[in-house]
Amino acid sequence: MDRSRWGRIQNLFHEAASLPPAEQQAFLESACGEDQSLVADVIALLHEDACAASLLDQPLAEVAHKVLAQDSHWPPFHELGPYQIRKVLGEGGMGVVYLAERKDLGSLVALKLLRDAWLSPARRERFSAEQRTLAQLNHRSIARLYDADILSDGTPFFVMEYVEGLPLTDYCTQNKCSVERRLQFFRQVCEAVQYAHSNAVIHRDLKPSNILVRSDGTVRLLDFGIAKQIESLDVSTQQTTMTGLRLMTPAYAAPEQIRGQRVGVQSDVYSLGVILYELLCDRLPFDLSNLAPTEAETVLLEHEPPKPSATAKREGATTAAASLSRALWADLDVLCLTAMHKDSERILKRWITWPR
Amino acid sequence: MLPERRALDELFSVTYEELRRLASSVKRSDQSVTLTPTALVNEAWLKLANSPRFASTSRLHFKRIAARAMRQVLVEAARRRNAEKRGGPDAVVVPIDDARDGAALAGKDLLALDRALDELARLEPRQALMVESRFFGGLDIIETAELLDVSEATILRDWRAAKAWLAHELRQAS
Repeated sequence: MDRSRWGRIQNLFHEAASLPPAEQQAFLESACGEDQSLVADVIALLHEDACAASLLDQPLAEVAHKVLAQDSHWPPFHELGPYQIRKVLGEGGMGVVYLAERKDLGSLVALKLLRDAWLSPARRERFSAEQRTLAQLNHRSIARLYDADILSDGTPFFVMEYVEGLPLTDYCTQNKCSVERRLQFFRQVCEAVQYAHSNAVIHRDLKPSNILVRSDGTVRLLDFGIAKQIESLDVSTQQTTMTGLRLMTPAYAAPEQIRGQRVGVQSDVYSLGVILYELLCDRLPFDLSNLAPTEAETVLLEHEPPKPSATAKREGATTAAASLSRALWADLDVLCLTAMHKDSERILKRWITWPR
Repeated sequence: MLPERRALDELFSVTYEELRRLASSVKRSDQSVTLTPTALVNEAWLKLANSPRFASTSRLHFKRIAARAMRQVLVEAARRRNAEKRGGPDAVVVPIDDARDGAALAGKDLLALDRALDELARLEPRQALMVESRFFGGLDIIETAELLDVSEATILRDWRAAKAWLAHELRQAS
């Protein structure tokens, strides 16, 4: 059909519809002349108009309910593409991490599925491009991203190196690591972060639970760049700062992240400062445990942390770093507090040249 | 890509994802609650309106974007349903029950409507936009008339003809 015919059909339809049903056929016969198919087309429309029983006459709610009901992958998978799901490793607000086995290779991987994060078809291409960047990160202390894809319903997932290990701070506590050992770990972490930054990738969610120490004493950083995917998928983070906070661990989040401002390499540096603080003092720079979210936000945005040396002294000899010389403490105080300062970018470079 | 075009794509993507999320949360919290697209669109607007990205978007313009997003959300769900019946790509284990037959029918109808709307857009873009906005976005006659910058009488007239034509196309497809 072409436009002019559709125009004709409509005119005839409206004219015929204004007549009593008994007169419609005769009107069309005379109006259409030889064109019997035109008569048939208009009759068909009049018929549909009279029954009003198509999808368009149903409330969309019913249709939507039917189509979307059970359209969900929860309860969870048994298989996903080439991966066989073994068990749930962890479950957070935004996603589930499974231990999975790649069926053809027999290798174990960690598979992270972002719940409640559907990519619109328009965004899927960009998502894949960004994953290619992440997959190119190749550093001994960074867990590899093997694969990232999108289920047919738009749910993104990541397939990553499966790392068995303990969170950095837990490892140090359990093994009563010396301050030298802790600083060696921290140095490994800084090198990995600097490598990623030199490849234009920001972690955005550095914290001890994303830094695992394996039984052989090597460090692996998990989830590089994945926080960005989560953020870009969650529009609510743009509205208020506190909803932004729920996505990350506030204690390690830089002020600009809490404010919902643009995140840069300095945000990672801030988190590194908090982690160093915790490694030295066995506690966080700010005690947020009994604070309401808004109070915690005020503390994080407005308060200066006490020097780590002062905190360590207050904690007594229980911390590994308590016995350090005054000169070394002076350096560590500066490093920690500079990293946690707003203008903290320059400190990362200094760490790389820190003597072993 | 033109900047306005890209901005519109971005708004569309955000809206699509929000509607998808809302539809899912309604389902998860209470199976008996029916999903009213109008309610979903309104809720999405309440959530998105304060976001800086939507600062220069009027409510009417948003509803028009949301209507298209809703169409895509539903059409994609219908496609997945078809794919599942053929042993689809994700190989998900899904329980089977009677409700799926009704859903399969609704899904087939939706896919046919999607195709017919594309054909209508070729014949008369304004009418396709009208049907999309009214059916998928829940715009009323007054809003649709304002959106398309025509009289309410024109909307009523176009709606009647387009609906009859689409119904005929659906009947032929089934």
